[in-house]
Amino acid sequence: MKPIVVIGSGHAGLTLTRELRMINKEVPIILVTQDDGCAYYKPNLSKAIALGKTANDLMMKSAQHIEKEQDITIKTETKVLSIDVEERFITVDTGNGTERIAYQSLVLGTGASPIKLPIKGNAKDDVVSVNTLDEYREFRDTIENKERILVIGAGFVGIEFASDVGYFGHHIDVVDMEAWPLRRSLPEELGKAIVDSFPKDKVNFHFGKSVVAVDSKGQGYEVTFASGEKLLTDVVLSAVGIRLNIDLAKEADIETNRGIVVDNCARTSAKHIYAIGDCAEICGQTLPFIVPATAAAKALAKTLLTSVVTELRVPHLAVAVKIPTCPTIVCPSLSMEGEWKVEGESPDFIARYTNSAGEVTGFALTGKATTQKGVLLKECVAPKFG
Amino acid sequence: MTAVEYKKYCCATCDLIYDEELGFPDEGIAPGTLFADIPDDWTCPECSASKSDFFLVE
Repeated sequence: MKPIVVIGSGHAGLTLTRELRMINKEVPIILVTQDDGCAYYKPNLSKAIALGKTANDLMMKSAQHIEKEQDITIKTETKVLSIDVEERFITVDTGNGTERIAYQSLVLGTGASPIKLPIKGNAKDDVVSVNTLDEYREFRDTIENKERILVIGAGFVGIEFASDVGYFGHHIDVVDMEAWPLRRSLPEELGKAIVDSFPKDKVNFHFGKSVVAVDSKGQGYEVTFASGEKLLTDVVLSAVGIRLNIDLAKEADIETNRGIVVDNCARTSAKHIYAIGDCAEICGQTLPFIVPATAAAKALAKTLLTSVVTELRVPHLAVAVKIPTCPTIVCPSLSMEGEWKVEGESPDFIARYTNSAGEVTGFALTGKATTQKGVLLKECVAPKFG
Repeated sequence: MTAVEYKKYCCATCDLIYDEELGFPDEGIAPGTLFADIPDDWTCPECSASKSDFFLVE
């Protein structure tokens, strides 16, 4: 029996292998990953510093542990070079040469990578991103004896990092082109409440600004904004969003757009090949969050191992943004047609994203209003795919 | 009289622990609530995994 082959050991890939094994004890499963294959909860990377957690603390299970527990084969530190869609095999580089792995079904869980801004300057290569456990390990070591950190991007990850490293008394600068944090997920009143909650002597926000250059200066860096303003810092962290990892699929002539294009059953344009998690674009939507990846993995496990082709149903996702000074919960709307309706008083706001039919398609909560999560989730209309 | 033996359950996705003794008061689950008595549509307060994604910590 040819194995089910899964590429990527992130949350999507590891949830899929677990679900597959729960349904069927016999089917051979091979997971291929360019990492060390250990399991960790990626959202923790931007909130673990304040908790005093090292990279090792964040590791939930090693690859060896998962192999044994799930009775699967994990090929770690292995890069997938190509997919042969016709003959149904992949070619991998194990570090000791190349190898072919035949598959009955292939699942792409290749995830996403941080966007690299086109920054100039002699220290542009020193700009760091933290998207893996290894990068977290390095970042934690880097900031240990530093005073000032500049964070580019005030989205989910950037604002959590600003809050997290701020905990240790670093001086933080946050730069974002938009006018307030989480601009795409919540309205101005809530963004302002978040900004006001940060200690003013420790955290400076620079909204409507962008970084064009990073140059070495003394022990640290001089950062130049598009406006010409200059600022000194010791560490530059970029958190400006993610680019979906679609190259492998694209080179195999599998249909891609922003993500790997799939239908609501995770099927790509190539037969026997599926995509789940951050890398997938489901009926035109990309949903780089934990909940949809879990749902997609569970549905796909059923599709692959039972005779029932199972459609993805994503529950509304209420994403908690870890800002201890201003608790924030965001439920992103899949539809961009609508407007914010805000009630409450700073910092305790309920904001509903409402369409022309009066339906609530998303919401955001700050402060004490975060306790209303359950009520708001019930108000929301369910997201639809396809 | 024997004391209730409380158990702990761990979320497979995010590693969060549900301790029956402590409950999740913030989520409306009182201390001492047995895992079995939590509603089936309850989800992990951290990562929204379903109740069935929790496993018993031995």
